[in-house]
Amino acid sequence: MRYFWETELALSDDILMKIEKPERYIGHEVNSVYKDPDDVRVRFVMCFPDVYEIGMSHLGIQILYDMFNSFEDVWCERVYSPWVDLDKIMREKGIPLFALESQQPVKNMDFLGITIQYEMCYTNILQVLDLSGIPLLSKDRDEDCHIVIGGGPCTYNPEPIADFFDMFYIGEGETRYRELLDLYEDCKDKKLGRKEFLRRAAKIPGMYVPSMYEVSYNEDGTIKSFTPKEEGIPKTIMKEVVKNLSDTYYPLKPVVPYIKCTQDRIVLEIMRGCIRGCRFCQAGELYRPVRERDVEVLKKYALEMMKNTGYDEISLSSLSSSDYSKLPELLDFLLEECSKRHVNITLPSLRIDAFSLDVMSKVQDVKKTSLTFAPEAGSQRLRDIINKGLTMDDIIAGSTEAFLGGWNKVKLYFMLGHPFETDEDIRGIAELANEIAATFFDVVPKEKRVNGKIQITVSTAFFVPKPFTAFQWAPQCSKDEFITKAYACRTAITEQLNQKSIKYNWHDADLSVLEGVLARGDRKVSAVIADVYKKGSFFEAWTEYYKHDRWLEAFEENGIDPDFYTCRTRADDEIFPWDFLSCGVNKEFLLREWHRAQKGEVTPNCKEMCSGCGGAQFGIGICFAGR
Amino acid sequence: MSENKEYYDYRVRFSKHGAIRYIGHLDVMRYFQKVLRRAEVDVAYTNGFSPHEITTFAQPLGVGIESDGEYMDVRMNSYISCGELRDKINNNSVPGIQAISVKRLPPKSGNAMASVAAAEYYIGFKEGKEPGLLAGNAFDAQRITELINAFLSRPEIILQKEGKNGLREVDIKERIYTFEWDTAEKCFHIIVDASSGYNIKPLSLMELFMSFNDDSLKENSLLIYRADTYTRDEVGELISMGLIGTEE
Repeated sequence: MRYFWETELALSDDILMKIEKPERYIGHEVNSVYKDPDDVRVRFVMCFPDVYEIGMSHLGIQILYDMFNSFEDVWCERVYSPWVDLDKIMREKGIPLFALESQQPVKNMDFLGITIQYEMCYTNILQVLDLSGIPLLSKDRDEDCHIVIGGGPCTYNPEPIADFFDMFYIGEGETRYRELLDLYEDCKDKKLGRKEFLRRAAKIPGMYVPSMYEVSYNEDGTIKSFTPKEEGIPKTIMKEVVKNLSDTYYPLKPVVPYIKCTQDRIVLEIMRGCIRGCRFCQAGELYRPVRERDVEVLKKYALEMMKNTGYDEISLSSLSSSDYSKLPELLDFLLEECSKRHVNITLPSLRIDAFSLDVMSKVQDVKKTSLTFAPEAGSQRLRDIINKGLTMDDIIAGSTEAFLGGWNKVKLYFMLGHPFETDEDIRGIAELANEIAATFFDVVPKEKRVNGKIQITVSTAFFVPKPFTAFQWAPQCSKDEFITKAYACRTAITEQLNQKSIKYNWHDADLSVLEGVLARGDRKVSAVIADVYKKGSFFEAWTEYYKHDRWLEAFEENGIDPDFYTCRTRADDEIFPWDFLSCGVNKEFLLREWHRAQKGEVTPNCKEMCSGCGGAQFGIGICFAGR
Repeated sequence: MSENKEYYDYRVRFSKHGAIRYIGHLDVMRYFQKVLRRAEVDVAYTNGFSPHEITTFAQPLGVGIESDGEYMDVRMNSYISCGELRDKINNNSVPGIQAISVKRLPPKSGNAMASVAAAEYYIGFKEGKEPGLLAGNAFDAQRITELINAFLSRPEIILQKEGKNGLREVDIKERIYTFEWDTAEKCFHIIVDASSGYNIKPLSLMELFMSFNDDSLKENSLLIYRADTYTRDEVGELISMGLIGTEE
């Protein structure tokens, strides 16, 4: 008919008109890449196992999407978790999960790459496999099944999800995929089969193939040994690192979604790694050594990305942007170029000082934005234990400057449940918030106070010990301990003189306990995750879909005691499930840090002096750039 | 905005086809802001902490509907030829959204949103989803025309319209400008009021038509295509919004 067009979409009009936000499933975004399937040798589907708006906000996928599609023989497409409304329809009607670009079933591709950013998405991984028609367990997949490969921060302890993946890529994705794809094409040509491909892939640096390793356990449930099943398979897998950040892949034409996503702006990654070894922080260890991207390269990228996306906002990304050596030069450049183009700059959390306040006042409406401090612990004693180099003086000096500059909202982030935390330390949180309020009333004369008040928001998360940190040996608090601590914090706040200016929020304790099990779990936990999924749970990062009872049931049914993974104190010489991996920072250094923490000894940051963490073995970055 | 500054106003007629028809109106507006920035044209901006391009859009198009008659007015700080603006938009847009024509608007012409008077649609049925009234007779044109005439000759045609203050009854008899059967394409052809406050949705009209004939539509059974959007000329006649202005 003349007036009506056919569209080749995987979902019918009836379905698209019935579900929430059909735009999540139709592809065709600006800068999305379309290729002729007949022109490529490898079809790769990149997945973020959460809803489109979250997944599209992730820089890592954009980097890899850009890299894969720059290879002539590869077509990389995207897929995200269908939201619960569509999920239900797909199951009822037997519609297989499809890639956004080609709208063809995921199952027909060569690779499904899943980025794993947080533990609470583990059941979503199973949702994606299930809807695709791929058996949940790697061992049940036959020759027709494509390769399921995982990457991202959670793969630094891949064991709880090891059964669901054929392989993992440990470290930064820019370096070894070409080699892996060449191997795949070669195996395909020679018809060697998936098992042989996986065997050979396990020998490529950074690749972990779970089926090639065997675990044995001690009677107490801890790990006795973890060994390769065959000769030639590496005993330890070292993470992959990009040697030169200024000369690698970067998505100058990122896919621009139609709907508003969580990260609805240009993201400029200025550096990787962090100099400040906070002892609770996993990212601070995983991405060592600190490497900066050249400021001239960043300027060029910023201009090109503005032209290619049309975004009205740009944001800098790194773990600690204040430590980027050319930050003033970069911000001066951006301020000038962005104002010409009516593009806003959103600043990442910067250390609050005269410089950052000056920049912030240029790009934001001071009255509407708030200052953010993350002291993480309430007392200096505990901040020394966690090696967080932020002092009360820093916070008061920063707030004083900010209050004089017109700010009157402050956000404070803390964690409850650090190792060696006392009631005194918790009271310190309340006292610090009170002190900031008092500072406001001291430095801002009454007639200059907007609405006459200061708003302080204190948020506490519960501390979950993570692999590859100094606190990987630490016992995690139980749910009851967490709740007692939150209650103590709330009580202490209500006892403060300026309590009316302080608002208090805390996280869910159940979720934190479970996150702890998944973070430091072993292969035995896989069965629990699979059972929880089979009970109907996914989208558990969304509190309304998190069903704690199902986890308790599944632990019980599988004879697994969650406390074993959380509340237990680990011996110095225990073999951890993730010990066969290395992020470059060696276990001896982490153990040294764990002992120093117990004594409250501060370790200097990488700029001040080298503490010999092991990161220098990569031969790059701050370890060699001089201090 | 300074009062004395000279601006250049343009009207862009654009299409929306294929998968893009599922993009909602607000997202289309945000989409065009990015298109204009990618095109690096000299758009005028509002003031304030988050300045945005000065654009206005005609009557929002429902999700799932395709169109060749969408309009956006955009204000420029400097002159650009209509052809160049159209090309720059198209070079920076997806195939599903393309500028069909661009006209420079004379000063003080009403903006795209305020000047909408009517919209023209073609309404067909999805295969197997024809209402009982029309099914089984292979779309007998003569009979359908009789039904339309009977419908239009009623003393009043009352539509329940959902507004800000709840339901209100509107007599739309004088607001249906064309209602006929397109024999060749086997679909309805309508031109109806689309002005703000009196916008008649094609679905509402079809539901009303069916209920007058003691029939009803099947769920999501319509194929709807908007052919054009109209304004009124000096003498009050309907004229395509794309005919306002000059192609300079």
